[in-house]
Amino acid sequence: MRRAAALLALVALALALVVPAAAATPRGIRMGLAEPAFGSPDPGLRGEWLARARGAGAELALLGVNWSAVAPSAPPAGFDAADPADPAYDWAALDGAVVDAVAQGLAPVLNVQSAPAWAEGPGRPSAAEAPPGTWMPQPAALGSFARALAARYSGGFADPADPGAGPLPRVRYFQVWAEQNLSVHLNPLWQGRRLVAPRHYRAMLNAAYAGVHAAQPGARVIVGGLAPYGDAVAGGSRVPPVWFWRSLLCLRGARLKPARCPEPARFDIAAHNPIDVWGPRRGAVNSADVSVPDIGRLARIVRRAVATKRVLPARRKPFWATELWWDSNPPDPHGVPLRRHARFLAESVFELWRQGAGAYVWWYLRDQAPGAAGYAATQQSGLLYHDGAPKPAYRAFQFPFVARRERGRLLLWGRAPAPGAVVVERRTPGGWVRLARVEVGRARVFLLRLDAAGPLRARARQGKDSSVPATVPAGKGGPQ
Amino acid sequence: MGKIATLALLLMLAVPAPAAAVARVVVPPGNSEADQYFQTVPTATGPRTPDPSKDARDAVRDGALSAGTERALRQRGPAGLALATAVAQTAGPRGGGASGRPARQAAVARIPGDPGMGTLFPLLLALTAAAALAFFAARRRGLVSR
Repeated sequence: MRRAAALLALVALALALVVPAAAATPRGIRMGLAEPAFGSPDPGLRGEWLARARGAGAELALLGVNWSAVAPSAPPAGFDAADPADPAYDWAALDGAVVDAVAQGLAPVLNVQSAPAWAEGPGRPSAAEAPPGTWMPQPAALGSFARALAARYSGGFADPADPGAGPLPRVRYFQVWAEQNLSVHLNPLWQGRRLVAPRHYRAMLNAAYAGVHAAQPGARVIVGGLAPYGDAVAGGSRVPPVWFWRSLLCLRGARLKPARCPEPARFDIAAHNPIDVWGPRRGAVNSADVSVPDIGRLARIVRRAVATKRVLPARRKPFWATELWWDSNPPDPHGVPLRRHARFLAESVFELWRQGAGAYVWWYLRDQAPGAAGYAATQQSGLLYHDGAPKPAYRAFQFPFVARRERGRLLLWGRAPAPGAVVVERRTPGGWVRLARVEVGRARVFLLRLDAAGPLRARARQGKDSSVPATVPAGKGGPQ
Repeated sequence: MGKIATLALLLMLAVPAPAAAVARVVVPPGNSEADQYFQTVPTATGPRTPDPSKDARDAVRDGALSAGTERALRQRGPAGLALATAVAQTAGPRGGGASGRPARQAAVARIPGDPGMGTLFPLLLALTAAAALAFFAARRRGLVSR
């Protein structure tokens, strides 16, 4: 008996020693990339850029699912929209993207957008007023499509068109629409002075949630990330994200008073697209807008909705940042300089991580070619130039590292390429010297606070991989 | 006299009203979809575009607010931040202060193509003053009753 008691005491002591260490392990953040070439019908091109994404350290591949391209332009007689094997569907490009992404070790996130014309609502205005695919997408039709999508990529579906190839891979993440607070993606936003889009989107989201979970109970449904800035006037073409979220989750006013909500929103993961105007450390001026440092505005709404059961399942919702980017100069003369481009990327990963984000998706892997109008109409936010040569942002994505002074101490944060030892070094006239050493676990994230005065240039290193160096001026915060 | 003051006040308030309704536009650098991702801020000074360069970001520090005041405002949340930003972005050029730093242009710039009020503003001021004088004179002659 005494031996048993002693043993128990020893176990308790061991637990007491181990648990605080485990609790102190920083959370991880999954890095993802979006890239048009991921969805290319050319298998060679698709495979090449998916491999480069993996090489950059991405774990998630955001794949666009153009509903109107997969579905028939007019449903034929007998069309079963919920059946992934219905011959009227054209899954060829998406199948290829999913198979190749999984083959590269990437977890696909399928982002559904753009309704076929037959699945839009009645009373459609001209395309100039509401772009194709955006007019009141019908929730029931979306629910059927979501069910077919989740069934096709459930891990147990063998394509009847190619039964010898074995089942298609499983996809776990499904995102319903994107930037539905902008009239370029969803219409109508307003009816007179009444905000109507969130209510309609709630019906879309709930139908998609039901469809996905009917096919794959373990899948995760992600809310479409909202654009960060709106027009704080009724009738605008951009609804401020805080207004949209409050209405979506049946909460009223700044105090978030619960309103009647017969059909609460259903989702598993909250998301936002905090594309930034300035650097990632400067918040939006309007309190209804949400930039990188303002995620707390959304988190508060979601927490309140969970507490008042205005969202189901009523449990804590992880948060993902599903679109971030800045264009760089070169090549775009209006972009930010390359070093700042890399720094903005690393800083934004850190700012979002410290606000609880579980995933971060950068757009794009590779610069787009300049169009007829030069760089203005295409995106030069790539980690790679159009020819595939890496920019400094490539290294910042692989190994984001931030150094800044906060409350008089030196804060060092990073996400290493792999678990293991990381050395933080300081630049001296004689070269780089060790400032700290830290062991990172599976999350690969480290956060150190040191007493180190004066200006500083630091970098993190893991084996041969090193981060982009960060500069900390004397006596104030890190670079911006 | 009370009516004159009220009239003048109303006119003064009426003049900047159209400008106040215009949004200031901030676009991300090099943004190819800038029509979607810009920040609008109502302002009483007309349509302005803050320069998103480092100079603009430092304008708060170098403008009318001390670092302590700016910090205190930022700690008040979004309203404080908005106020700090508004002060920074509407402050005029300032001479070298105690810090000895050179004057820096306030971080505002017109929207390209926007002419502003131009000569209309002084004209409106002159008309306001003339109207007030005429009203005052008419009242002294007994044309306007109390």
